[in-house]
Amino acid sequence: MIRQTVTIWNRAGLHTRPAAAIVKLASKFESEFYIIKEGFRINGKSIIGVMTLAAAQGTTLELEFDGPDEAKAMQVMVDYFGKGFEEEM
Amino acid sequence: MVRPPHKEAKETLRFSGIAASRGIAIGPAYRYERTLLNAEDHQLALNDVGREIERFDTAVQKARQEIEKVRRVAEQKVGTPASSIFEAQMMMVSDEFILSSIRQRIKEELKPAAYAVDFELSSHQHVLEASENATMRDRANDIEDIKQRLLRYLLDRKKWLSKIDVPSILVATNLTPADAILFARSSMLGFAIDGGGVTSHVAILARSLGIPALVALHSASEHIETGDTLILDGERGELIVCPDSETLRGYEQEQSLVLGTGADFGGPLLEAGTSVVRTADGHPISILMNLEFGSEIAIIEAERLSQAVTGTNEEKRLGLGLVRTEHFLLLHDEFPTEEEQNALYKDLADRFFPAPVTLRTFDVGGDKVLSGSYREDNPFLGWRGLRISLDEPDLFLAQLRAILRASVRGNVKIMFPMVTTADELTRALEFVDEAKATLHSNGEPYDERIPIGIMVEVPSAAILADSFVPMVDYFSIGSNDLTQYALAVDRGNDLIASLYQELHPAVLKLICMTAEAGKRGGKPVSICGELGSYPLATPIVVGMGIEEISVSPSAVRSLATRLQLLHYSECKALADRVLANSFSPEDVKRQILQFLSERQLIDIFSETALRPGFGARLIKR
Repeated sequence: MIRQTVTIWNRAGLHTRPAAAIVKLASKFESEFYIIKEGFRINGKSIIGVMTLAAAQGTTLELEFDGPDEAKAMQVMVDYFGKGFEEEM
Repeated sequence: MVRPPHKEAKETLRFSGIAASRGIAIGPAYRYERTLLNAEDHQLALNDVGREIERFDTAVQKARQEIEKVRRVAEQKVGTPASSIFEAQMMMVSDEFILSSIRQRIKEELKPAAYAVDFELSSHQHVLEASENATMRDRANDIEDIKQRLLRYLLDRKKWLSKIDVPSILVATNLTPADAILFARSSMLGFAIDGGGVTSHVAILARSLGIPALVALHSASEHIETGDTLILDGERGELIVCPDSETLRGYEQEQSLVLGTGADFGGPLLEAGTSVVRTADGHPISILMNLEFGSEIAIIEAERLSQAVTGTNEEKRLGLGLVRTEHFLLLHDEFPTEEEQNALYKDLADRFFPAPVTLRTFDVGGDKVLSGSYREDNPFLGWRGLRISLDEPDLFLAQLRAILRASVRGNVKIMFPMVTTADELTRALEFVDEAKATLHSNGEPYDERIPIGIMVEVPSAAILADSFVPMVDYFSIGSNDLTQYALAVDRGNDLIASLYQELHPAVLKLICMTAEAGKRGGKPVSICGELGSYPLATPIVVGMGIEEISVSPSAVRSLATRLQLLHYSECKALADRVLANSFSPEDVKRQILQFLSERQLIDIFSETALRPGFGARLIKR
């Protein structure tokens, strides 16, 4: 199991579009994927879960991966967060 | 003249909210309230659990079908970026983690499905509602939409009605994205809601649809009744209820400015003094408007736009490519008399002169003619359109005389709906001759060379278009019905709505056959169905050689913008390629998308409904 801390960079925060993109991205990997915010832990493959994080710009989240392809999954996901979901910062 | 419902001498009220989408709308209010459903808790009997799980799974299935349908409508109305809201909703209603958690509540806690849905989704919703961030709070609305959809099935409630008969400003406490899209299909002039925010999905959709909208009006909706005259000011964020006549006049003037005057609207888009837009390589396409409803307001709106294009009162250039005369009937209970009809038609002909006004004869089903209990098993395949007119000579002749008498200035055209065989047209033309003879003997003037055309919407008419050529002056393709008939799909039927594909190669081939027959016979071919305003379809429609495109007034600007960016020669090559080697709508879409992306036009063609002024700016750049 591996973990990594990320920050929400884009102006609009983790709203519906990036939430959908994250879930789609996560579903490509076998590993389990959780997002932790202030002790609140949600399944990163559940769009409603991800939305419910209500993570605004500047929020710090912890990503947790567990499974055979966890390293690759984490790399891809951290990269997507790092790009501010390819939205306006 | 038919007028919208009007209330007298009610006190003027003003509410301020937030302008979520710019522009000014003036019209009667339509109060829309969808009662929010809640489920009650009780314990299930153990042997009911299996059935309850089954009901839940069916509800999920139905909700998916419904969202898919809305998504498809949205894709056509507002293009892909905005319609992706519904893709996300689809993912939400397919969220296995939530679904299995709901099933678990039913199975292990013996909760009724409705209660389990309500509980589970409400808890997520509450988390979002408690957020400090406005955007996040707005998203709770998306979950509410899904919850209500599921509850409606589980509690056996009726389908939501998302249709307005008279062009109106929708007033509600709240509106879901799906409501916004579905109401936009009928005649929503704008909407004003108590809740919502600028970043809510429904606000985003309003901007994509290009209709003015106000949000965050608090409790304004409580003070408004259906029929109250409203001014929705999306420039200043104000809603005025029952304005006095002076205020109303001021806004009417401003509204025409917001729509754009000749200089900033028509100047760069339409060729001076015509309704013609030229493609980047100079190929002319004429733009016309469809008039949806027979109300004063819809007419004024179209007239303003026509005026805006040329910038003068006298010279209207943007004509009407399709007037659905049967909509005048909606406001009466029975068929209007010849005199009543004549007054309506003449008024239109005068207002739009010298631009053409194409009057389509009544296109109704048999239930409208024989009031009461007349029902058919297959109304779409039944007694409707021209078939009824031919069987009801008195009705038909009265309408034809009313149209002919309105044609004296030479800008009226006749169009017949639902023509299936050449024989029907022959008979219809005999009725026209008879109507002319009556007027002649009464010494009443009419346009002797009034152009007569047919709607091509039944596949037989497209396939044998050549047989109609000698008898008509023009063809107009009704792509909506043509698609339904070609693919045997009732697009109103949720179960099969996904089969309704206007870009199906079979439909395109029928359109192409008609276009070619027109070309061979030297008769112009226009299109007046939704395909005309479907952005992805524009390159193909142009490439097939369609010369006139008639769309709703709100789609004129974006259509003109798209046309100017295309090269006819390239569109023609694309259309030839697509028609030669496509076997599915996906094949067609893939080739169009590739075509657009090679030319860096994807964003513009998917960002359909351009906001006011956007078209003009785009051209200058």
